[in-house]
Amino acid sequence: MDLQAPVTLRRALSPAAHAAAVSALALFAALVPSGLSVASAGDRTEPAPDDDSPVLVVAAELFGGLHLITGPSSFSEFELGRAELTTALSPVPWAGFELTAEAIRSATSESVLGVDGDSLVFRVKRAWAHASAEIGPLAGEARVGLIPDPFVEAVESDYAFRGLAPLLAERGSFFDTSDLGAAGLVHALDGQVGLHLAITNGEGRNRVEQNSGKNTTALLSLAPRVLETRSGDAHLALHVAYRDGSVGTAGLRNHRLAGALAFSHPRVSTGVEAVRAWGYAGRAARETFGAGLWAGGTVVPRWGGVVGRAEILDMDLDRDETWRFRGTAGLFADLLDAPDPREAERLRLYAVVQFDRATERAAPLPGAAEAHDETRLMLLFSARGRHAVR
Amino acid sequence: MFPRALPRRIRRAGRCALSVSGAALALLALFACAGAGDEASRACVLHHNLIEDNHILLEREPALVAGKLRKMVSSPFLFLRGTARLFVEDALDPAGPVFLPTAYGSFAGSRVLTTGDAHPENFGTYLSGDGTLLVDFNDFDTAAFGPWWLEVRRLAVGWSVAGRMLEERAGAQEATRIRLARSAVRGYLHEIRALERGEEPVAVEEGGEVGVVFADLIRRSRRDGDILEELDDFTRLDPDTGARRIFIGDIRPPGEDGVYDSTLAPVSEAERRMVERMIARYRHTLHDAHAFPAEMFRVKGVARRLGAGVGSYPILRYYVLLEGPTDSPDDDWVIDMKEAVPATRYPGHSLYPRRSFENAAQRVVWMTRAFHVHPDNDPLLGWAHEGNLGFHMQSRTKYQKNLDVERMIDRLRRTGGGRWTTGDILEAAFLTGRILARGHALAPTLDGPPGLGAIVAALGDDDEGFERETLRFAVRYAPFVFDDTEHLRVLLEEHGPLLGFRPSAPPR
Repeated sequence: MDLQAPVTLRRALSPAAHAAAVSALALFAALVPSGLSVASAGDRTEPAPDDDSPVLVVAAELFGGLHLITGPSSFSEFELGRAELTTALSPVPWAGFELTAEAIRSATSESVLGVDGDSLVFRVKRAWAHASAEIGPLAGEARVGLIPDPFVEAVESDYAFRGLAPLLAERGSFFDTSDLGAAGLVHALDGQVGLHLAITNGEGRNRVEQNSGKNTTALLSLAPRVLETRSGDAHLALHVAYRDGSVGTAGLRNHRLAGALAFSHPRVSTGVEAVRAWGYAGRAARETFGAGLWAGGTVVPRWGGVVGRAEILDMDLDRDETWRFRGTAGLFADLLDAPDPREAERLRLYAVVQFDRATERAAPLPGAAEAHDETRLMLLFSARGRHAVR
Repeated sequence: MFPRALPRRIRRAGRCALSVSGAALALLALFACAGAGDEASRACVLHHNLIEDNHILLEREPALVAGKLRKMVSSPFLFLRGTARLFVEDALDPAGPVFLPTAYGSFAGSRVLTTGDAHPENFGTYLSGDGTLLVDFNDFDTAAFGPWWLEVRRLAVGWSVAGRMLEERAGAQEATRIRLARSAVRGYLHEIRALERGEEPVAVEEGGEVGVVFADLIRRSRRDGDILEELDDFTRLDPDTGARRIFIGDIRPPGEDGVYDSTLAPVSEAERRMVERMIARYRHTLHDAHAFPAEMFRVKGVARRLGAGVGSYPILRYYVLLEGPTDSPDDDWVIDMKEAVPATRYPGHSLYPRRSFENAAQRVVWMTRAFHVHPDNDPLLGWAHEGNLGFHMQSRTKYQKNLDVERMIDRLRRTGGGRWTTGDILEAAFLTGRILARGHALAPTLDGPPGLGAIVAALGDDDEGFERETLRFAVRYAPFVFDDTEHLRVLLEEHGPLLGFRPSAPPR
């Protein structure tokens, strides 16, 4: 596996790293300079590895849809779960930088006001520079800036249903998706073995450093190709990470031990993730565990498939009955071909049912668990695409 | 002042930096953290929570936040007042040290209009539109739809903390803390059952049977309000022109620790213009917007009020001198203009629709009127909003006075005339419970109907069980307030006046 610039870009743009360009055509029309060609479905615009001219990549992701919520109270809302725009430039094959902006609500639940009410506004999600090199059988990369979290980045690259739901590692606030710091990656055996070491502030992307401690995350990845089939290669990926962390002015411990196993094939994708936390949600003493399982596959190629997710979160390992559950199941349809499951969601529609349940102690209002129980019918779309030019 | 021994375990609690950098020390750090004792862990929780709770104000007004923290360590009750968010997180955190699930929770009961900060010192007097002096709840800064039973717990904790201070400083009987908390809970249940039977809601008014403590409060409010003492305190007459102007200076000087008590500070020209715009908008939001002509709202002076409150100590607050009913300087009005802050948040609890109000200031005013026995308890209550700032405003008269735990201590200590007994304070606690219950029961819930039905349904016929559960929580939580006060003192010593927070921008 060549880890020179093009591959670096593929990894840098994760999870849209291997997507083709057409799916978000309308968005790109406004973003891509005139004169740039737009690839057709399945037409890879990835520059040839041996081409040394500068590369500019623009990528976008949009997730959104309608939530119909039933439970003790009913509610419905259209939601935009993700709107991201990434620009990456590699002026030379061995170095470059990336800037990713994401849309967020400008007021949190605790804000008095946001921007013009509670408008969606863009903010920087990732902004980092990278340089890569090959030494013998090893390929390495250095990163600095607002860099991706190693674990979330790695597992998402093998997760084909991000438009449906984030990983529990992210949704459960075990990991922030990016943080200010520096990282080094080393790969061997054509990318089948990788080591990723990151040192960051530990405050995520919305705070300056608050304490003298730094988060140190080490990630080991094994990604052998296990099977060749008529419909494509099957991959297995194992990721194991440990983070020594601290958060806030009080320097609360914020350690994580996480693992994920993912299997991906053009027709089937499945995986499991698990995270153990020492220090959670601003409570240094709390120990928490979460696990997620996903599985999905194409039933009618291109047109239809089934998907399911299950998550459990034990809010406090020291006590009984502190579990929260989330289950999601439904159908999806891909409107554009995706030759590899990791390139999926180029233009995908989901129709799923999701339910949340909690035990008495784990409900947000302990003793009133039913106030937390909800069932949602969700009609979602996900669109991802990228375009590269020289 | 703090008789509980707080030896090295608490001094150690100030050191929360549990993590180290570098992969080589990762395992060491893990075990170091795991080895931290309960007290150290509690201090870390407190440290983190205070930073998060004051984060925006630490950036904007670091000196005033430092003053707030100093004020909080001066008394466990003031600490309680400054930590409403910590209380909610402690009470709802299944991993927390005081966690106690309720047997009286329900979906409907989690959508009741709550004040957000029910403690004894948030009960006080108003002069209503018809001239009646009455006692009601008077701080709705963080009011929100939420669980009624949690609010009763906070009131019980407040009385329990006050009770322990009465025991330690005024020689009250040892069980006073429990008796006060029980009295408040019983008052709450009494009112709920009375309303269920269709009886008239409680009205704690001048001339009624209000008990010694509230009678004293009403008497002093009438005395000081009738002589317009607020004009003497907050304004001065120009000796040459006879015109009234806002006073700038210390009404009461800051303490030796630099904490403001009651100071009126000058404002910039930009602030004055902002206040004038707000006042012009505010008059349209009064309960009876046509009751007062526009000329009554002519701004004659503006000062920044410093030193008021505990939780709200660092926020923007202005006293505004208005023309009032006539051109005479004798009937000018002083308006208290207070920056709106976020509502109490119950983490993870979905309350659809998520936003019912245009902004926080409107929320405060709407909830105040909905909760009060009369929507015109204060006819000058209103709000205004501009850009990122919202203010709720009310008249600032000496008709408004709050219950004061320090006064209770003083009166209980007395040996001569004016001495209060524990029974007098128990009676006041009972009435605060009734007033809180009346508000919960009669104000609309998030779904529209009054909260009474949801509360009665959740209680069933188990009043004794609810009382027992609430007291159990209060007895468990109140000691944390005292220990946490000492934790905060140590944290301030070890980390400095901002608890080690590093503002993004240099202080102004």
